[in-house]
Amino acid sequence: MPKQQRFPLPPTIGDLAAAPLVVKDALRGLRRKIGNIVPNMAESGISGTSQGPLSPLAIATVLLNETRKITSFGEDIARDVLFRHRDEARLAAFALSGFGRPFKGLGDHHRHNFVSSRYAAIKILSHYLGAIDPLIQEQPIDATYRALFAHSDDNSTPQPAQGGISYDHIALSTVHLEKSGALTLTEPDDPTPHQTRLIFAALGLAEAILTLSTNPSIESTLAALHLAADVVVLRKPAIGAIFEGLDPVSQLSAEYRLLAPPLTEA
Amino acid sequence: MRLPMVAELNGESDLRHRIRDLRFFEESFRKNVQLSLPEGAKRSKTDQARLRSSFLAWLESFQSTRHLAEIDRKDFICFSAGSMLAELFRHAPLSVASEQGQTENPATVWPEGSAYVSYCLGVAMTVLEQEFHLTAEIPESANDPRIWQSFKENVRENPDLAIPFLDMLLGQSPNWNEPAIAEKRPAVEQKSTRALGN
Repeated sequence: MPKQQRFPLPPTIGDLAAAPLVVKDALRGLRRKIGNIVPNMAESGISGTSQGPLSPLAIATVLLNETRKITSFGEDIARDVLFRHRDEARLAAFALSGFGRPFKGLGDHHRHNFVSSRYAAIKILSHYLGAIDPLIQEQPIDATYRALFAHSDDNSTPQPAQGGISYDHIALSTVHLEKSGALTLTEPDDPTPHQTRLIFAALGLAEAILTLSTNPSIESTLAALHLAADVVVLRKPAIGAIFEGLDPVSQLSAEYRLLAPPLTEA
Repeated sequence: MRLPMVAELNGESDLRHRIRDLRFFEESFRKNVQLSLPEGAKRSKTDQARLRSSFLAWLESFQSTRHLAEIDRKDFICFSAGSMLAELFRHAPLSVASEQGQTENPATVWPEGSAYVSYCLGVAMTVLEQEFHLTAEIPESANDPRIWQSFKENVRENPDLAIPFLDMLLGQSPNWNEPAIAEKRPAVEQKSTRALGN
């Protein structure tokens, strides 16, 4: 009987490209868990004046608090000094790394761009739409990419013609991403529809808008994401019905076909 | 009835396509508000979300009825402008704080309604001119405060009545009974019957 893997490494050589994503996602999950733990001071036996020996729970609480301070401090420095514009910079590849335009023959850079730009876009949309405690992971985005690429190979959905746009591919990619588990967040009490669906619907709409644009830039990508988010919120009942419906891909495709041209800057 | 945007809209080549661009719609609507409000209007506010909602609702109606343009293009332009007006009334993006003016023109009787009508009428007239070289004459009744008062009451109950009201101003046969059903418009029914008879 084969020995069970303790760490979720990708199973094949071809998937080694995903290995850094495994580590990054694991750290993201850990950070979220640490951030969500609120130690109960009374239970842990810590008081401000007590000088006696600490219980194991109290020691764990102190350690947890200190770890959180350090990770938070390190993250602040990294964000402020090193990665201030990193998410926005990743967006540069957003428009050209989707499936709305012909994508046959594109290499690993297409896959990398798809994953990193969608990660950044989901992060920006989550923040813009006020998502609570979002956890965004790159592995499910990568898995979605591979599934879509494989799907395109079986010719069940023909690729768009040169210069054309495929709303069907954009919708398919949106629905796959929504189901992939790339985004986890605390949903509001009365989510109609789920906020994650609004975020992914906006992601697909922004992609459709940018695929129609002649010369997408980081600024126009940000503007498209914000406009798509605003419009999707206004279309909340329609978006909810689409995801609850029998054929969300074709309905979402029709929605993008209706909305994207009027939202594209002339 | 003042139509301050007609000259500017006419400067846009291919307005029938431009009007389907959200940014152009927002910008030209706001400009029309600025130009069409009466002097007594102290403050006006355009709610962007409501304005966008009216555009999106109009867009949906436009896409689902555009095949009727093949039956009677001129009539479809009037219907489409009327649908836009109906959605503006339904979503009410504009609010105006105004003082009662001395003269009783439509803009002082009902500044919001007058701004909506002025915009949609301006768009329809410009597209008709660009497509058919037609210059619609606005009837005298368009300045009658009693007409506006009655229109205000009716459209409050049913925003779709904005469609036949605009038809009336454009000289197109209105359908007051089922205003939102494009297939039931007199011009469409007439041409469809004629086509079936041939």
